[in-house]
Formats: sequence, C-alpha cells, structure tokens
Amino acid sequence: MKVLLVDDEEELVTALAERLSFRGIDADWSTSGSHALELAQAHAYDVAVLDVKMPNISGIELKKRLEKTRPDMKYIFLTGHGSEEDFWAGSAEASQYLVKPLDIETLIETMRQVVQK
Amino acid sequence: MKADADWQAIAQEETRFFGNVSAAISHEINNRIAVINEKAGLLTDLSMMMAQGREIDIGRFEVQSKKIVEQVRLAKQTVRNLNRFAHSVDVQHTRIEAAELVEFVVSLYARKAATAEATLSISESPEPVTITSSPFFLETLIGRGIDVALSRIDEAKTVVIGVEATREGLAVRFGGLAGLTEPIEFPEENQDVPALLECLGARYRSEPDGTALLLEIPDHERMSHGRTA
Repeated sequence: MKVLLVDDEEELVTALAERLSFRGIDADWSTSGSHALELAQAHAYDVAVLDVKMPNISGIELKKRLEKTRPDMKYIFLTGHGSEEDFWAGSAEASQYLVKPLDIETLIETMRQVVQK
Repeated sequence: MKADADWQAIAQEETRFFGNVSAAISHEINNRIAVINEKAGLLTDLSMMMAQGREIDIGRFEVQSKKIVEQVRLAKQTVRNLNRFAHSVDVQHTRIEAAELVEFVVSLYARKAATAEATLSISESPEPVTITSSPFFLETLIGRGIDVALSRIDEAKTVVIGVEATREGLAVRFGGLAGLTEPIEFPEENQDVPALLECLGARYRSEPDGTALLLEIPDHERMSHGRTA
C-alpha cells in the first residue's frame, strides 16, 4: 500500500510516515497542498490522508484537486476535534474520517478498509 | 460605557467572540497533543525495534525527546494565552498598553490568518499608547477588525497592524487592504458588533482610498472626566 500524508504539522506528519514505514507501509508526506499535488502528479497512491484544516488550502479543497489527477485514489480526513462542521464536511467528502490524536493501528485498519472498497 | 447600551446584543457578540477564540485555541492545543502522541509512538516503536535486536542510533531518542519538550513548551504558551484571554473578562476597566494588547490578539489570530493565506504584521508605535477601557471589549473589537481586514486583504497578503494616540484616545490601523468601503460590513454572525461600538463610543472607518481600516476608541477615563467637567 502506498500512502500520501498531508498535514501542515511537519513534526506530526514525518513521525507518522516513519511509523507507517516500520509497519511495511510506503508513505510519502507533505506539509502543503501545492507540494501534495506535485507528489500526486509524480506518483500513484492508494490512499491520501488529509488534514481538514490547513493553511492555504483545506483538506476538502485539496481532495477536489487531487481527484482530477488521481481519480481512483481513496481519501481519509483527519481533524482536530471532530466538530459538527468538520464532521459534515468530512462525512460528505471522505471515505473515512478520523479524529486526532491518532491511534496508528486504527489508521492502518481504516486505510486497508478504504482501499479494499 | 453608555448606561443605555444594548447589553443583550453586546453579550451575544462577546459570547460569540469568546467561543471563536476558545475554539481556535483548543484546536491549537489538540495539535500539540497530536504531535506529542505521534512522537511518543515513534519512541515506543524505536524501543521495540531495539529490543528485537535492530540497530538504532541512540541519538534518535534524544532528538525525539527534545522535540516532545518543544511541543510541551508551545502547548504551555497556548494555555497561557487561553488563561490570559479568559481572565480579560475579570476587569471592567483598566489601563491598557495598546501595542501589547494588539500583539496579544494577533497571537490569538495567527492560525486563522494562516488559514486565510495571510500574515499579520505589527508596525511598531513610535511611542507607547495607553488607554483606559475594557480589555475584553477591546480584544473583541481588535479581533473583529482583523476579521474584516482578512476579508479585504490585498495581493501582498499581509495585514499591517499599528496603534497610534488620538485626541480622544486610541486608533488601531489595519493596513494592507484593498477596496474597503463604508459602511464597514460585518458577516451575518457578527451583526451585534455595532452595539459594542456604540457602548464604547468607538467606530470603524475606512481610509479614503480603501487600503486600511481604522478602529477609533475613546479613552474611558477622558470620557468620564469630560462628562463631569
């Protein structure tokens, strides 16, 4: 499984990518929407894990742009609080929706589920 | 403050502002927790790999521990800001150093500005400006000024905020805007801002060329003396 992680918190996304690699999952990471779009142009990913609230471009908007490049990629949204606003945005747009802080085993299980759908 | 102010509208606006800022701060604290959670998980992973005989650079533990300490420092700063913000409702009137208060509100709005692809910059005041007023009301009006400024920001994407003394009290200037017109319009959810302005005898106005928003606030002490004179 090849994964694209996008979150503006570099310390979070780099640690998460490394922890996924320890578990045999190939994860690229980005802290910006524009860089994520470049990565998606260059590589095919099974699933993108996107933070909902990011500077410059929200996770929801980023998904819309990524879909043009990679229509078959699946999506998981991350949010800080699971606020009602985030929930409805996320539930409408994403295959799955997870609240930070993450449990890595739950993330991996969720990624497997959305890829198999 | 005006005795016949519309206190219901003011309370609604204040509650809304308190909610907006608290939500942003709680989001920030949760971000720190999420990073600490991931760093702790990484340390656990490295420990387990080491226990299984994998060769791990011992320096990695120190690096990651230091990063956790840094996240704790950032979280503590955010909690200090929340505490200060919460206590700003404690006093009705006090002497306020305007530049310092602006700096505080800017720190509360940093993430909101970043989300709007903007930067908030503070222009240094040539001399200290102090005013007697309500800290919480002032924070609200400065915050709502930033909201308006972010909605009218020019291509440079930087709101430059400065304070200056006026004959009546204080002016906060939000520069770096384009096409700002009067009357200053607020989003639907902030329609009670005018009641707060009226209560303090304050007003927002636009520079004639529409490139800056001005928040003018009279000094409560001078207003009181003016009334008794």
